[in-house]
Amino acid sequence: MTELVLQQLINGLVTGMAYSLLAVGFNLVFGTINIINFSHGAFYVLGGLFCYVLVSSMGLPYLVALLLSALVIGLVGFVAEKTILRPLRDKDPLVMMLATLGAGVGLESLAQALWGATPRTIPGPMSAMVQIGPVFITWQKLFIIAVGVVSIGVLHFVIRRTTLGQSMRAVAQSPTGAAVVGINFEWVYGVTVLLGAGFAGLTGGLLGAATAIYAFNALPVLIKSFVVVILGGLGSLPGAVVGGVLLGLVESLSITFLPDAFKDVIGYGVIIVVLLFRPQGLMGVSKSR
Amino acid sequence: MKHRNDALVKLGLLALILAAMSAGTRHGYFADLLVLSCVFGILAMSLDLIVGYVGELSLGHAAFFGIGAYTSTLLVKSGTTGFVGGVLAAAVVPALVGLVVGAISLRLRGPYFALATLAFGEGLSIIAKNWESLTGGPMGINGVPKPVFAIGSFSYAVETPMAAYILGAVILFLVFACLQYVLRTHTGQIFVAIRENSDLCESLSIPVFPYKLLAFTLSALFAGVAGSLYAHYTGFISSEVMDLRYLVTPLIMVLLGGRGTLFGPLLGAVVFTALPELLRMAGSARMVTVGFSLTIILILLPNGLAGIFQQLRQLRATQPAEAMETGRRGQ
Repeated sequence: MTELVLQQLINGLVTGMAYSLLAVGFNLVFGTINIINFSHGAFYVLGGLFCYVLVSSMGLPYLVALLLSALVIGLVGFVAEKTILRPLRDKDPLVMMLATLGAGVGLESLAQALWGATPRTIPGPMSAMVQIGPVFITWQKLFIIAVGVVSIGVLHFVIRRTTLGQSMRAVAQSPTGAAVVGINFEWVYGVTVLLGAGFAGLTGGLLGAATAIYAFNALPVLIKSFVVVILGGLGSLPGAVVGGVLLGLVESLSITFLPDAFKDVIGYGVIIVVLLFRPQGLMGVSKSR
Repeated sequence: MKHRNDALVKLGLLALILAAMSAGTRHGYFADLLVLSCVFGILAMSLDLIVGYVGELSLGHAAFFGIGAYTSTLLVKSGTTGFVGGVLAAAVVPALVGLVVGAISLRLRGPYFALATLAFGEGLSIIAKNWESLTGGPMGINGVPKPVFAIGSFSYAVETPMAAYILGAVILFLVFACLQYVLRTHTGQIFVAIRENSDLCESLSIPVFPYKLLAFTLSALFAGVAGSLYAHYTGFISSEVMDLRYLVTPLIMVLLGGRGTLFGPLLGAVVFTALPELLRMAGSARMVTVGFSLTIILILLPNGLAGIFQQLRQLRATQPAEAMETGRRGQ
């Protein structure tokens, strides 16, 4: 029993790290532009499928493909920001969110049309098992944890310590104010979505090699990012990490004790409970909404 | 007085248009499109109440459509109630669910509300897919009875396309009249005031939350009616009625037509029921078009088709004044 629980805990940790990566990208866009990017799930799916194509059809090494797919999806995000959100800059946020919803649904359906309903597993080089004490885990899953820690750490550094990060925080507070002091907020918006989409694409490539990537997964992934972000607190980077890991752990423990179908319902239950009792999230700062 | 006349003129206009469109029911294929236009017209108007008038993006609307469809299907098919009872239940049950969901989710606004309702809708969709003993899951329920009106020993079954269209058009007309009435009362004005500036409303001690809850409940109610009509007309429903497609398509109808108007969503419903059918698109290809057209409409026509009419009207109204202005400057 203890071994089973430990095994589930380590699996939950991996899933949780993937959730954190998703939520970090989602949070970044929300924190800076103050809209919800409804294309986030589609970016995840496209990232995974693109990585799959690069590895299995074009024979690129997995690591190269992973980096390339994160980069390409990031660029797609940048272009989408400039073509879709820029013309709507003076409209109300509802319109901007709907525009991302439309683009997300379009991209997701395109992925479904191209790749159909078969889940694909990216043939990665790290599918071998390794034993740590009483539990077994693939190298790929350890790799996910490592990439998660490193990339979120780097992002944290970028946001806290670099000029770009400073500009992002300034634009988040007031685009006009940022423009007054000479920050090119159009550029900052673009880079923000580039990073957000890039994180989604990266997670797609990571999870696609550990489990599978599925063209119909965009909406569940979007909602999962939202659950994590609500749990951790909107706009809080540490919150996204803690929320992601927590949700991953709770979900995988729930499979041990409850029927499988309950796993997703837990996420929705979490939203309701958190919104009712601690709307600012676990790590969020209370502010009026 | 003028306002009352205005309302009657709009109702008369709608009645005329609906009557004129009945000519199309002679052709079976067009009849089908017309009936579905009525169903989606009701759905789009109900969505517009919350998205266009109160100004909150509700992404759980497909769930109410689905709850309505399933409520009346299950009741009528099991013989518990007749068609009329089924439609009434399909109004009451989604309204009650809407009341509960709204009570929780309307504490939030903007992006938070949008995602909370999306999570609710998706959660319900998962339940519908998996609770196969009740909903039939993705395989669905076949042979949903056609609408039958029974009074005493007399009974009339709606079977011809013409009859189905008349039923749809009458209910559409009633829903339109009902919404128009609500929107012209003090309550409707507060809805718009909330959309324009909800903080200001609260500072004027207008209780924003109960008004939003009322609008949300009403919109769930009418969405349920649309769902019930859909189920009884097509004769088949599955868990797909709560899918993304039934969430995004009505949103497009509202936005293409023009949110915050009643005629706009109707126009959008006709266009977006007919267009994908006429272009013979199905499955993913259809959703690719639907998704991207939502984005394109927002960029090119932010106020929808109704916005074009309004601009034309404004242009006509301002032209004489501008002419005078330039004339004076010329002197």
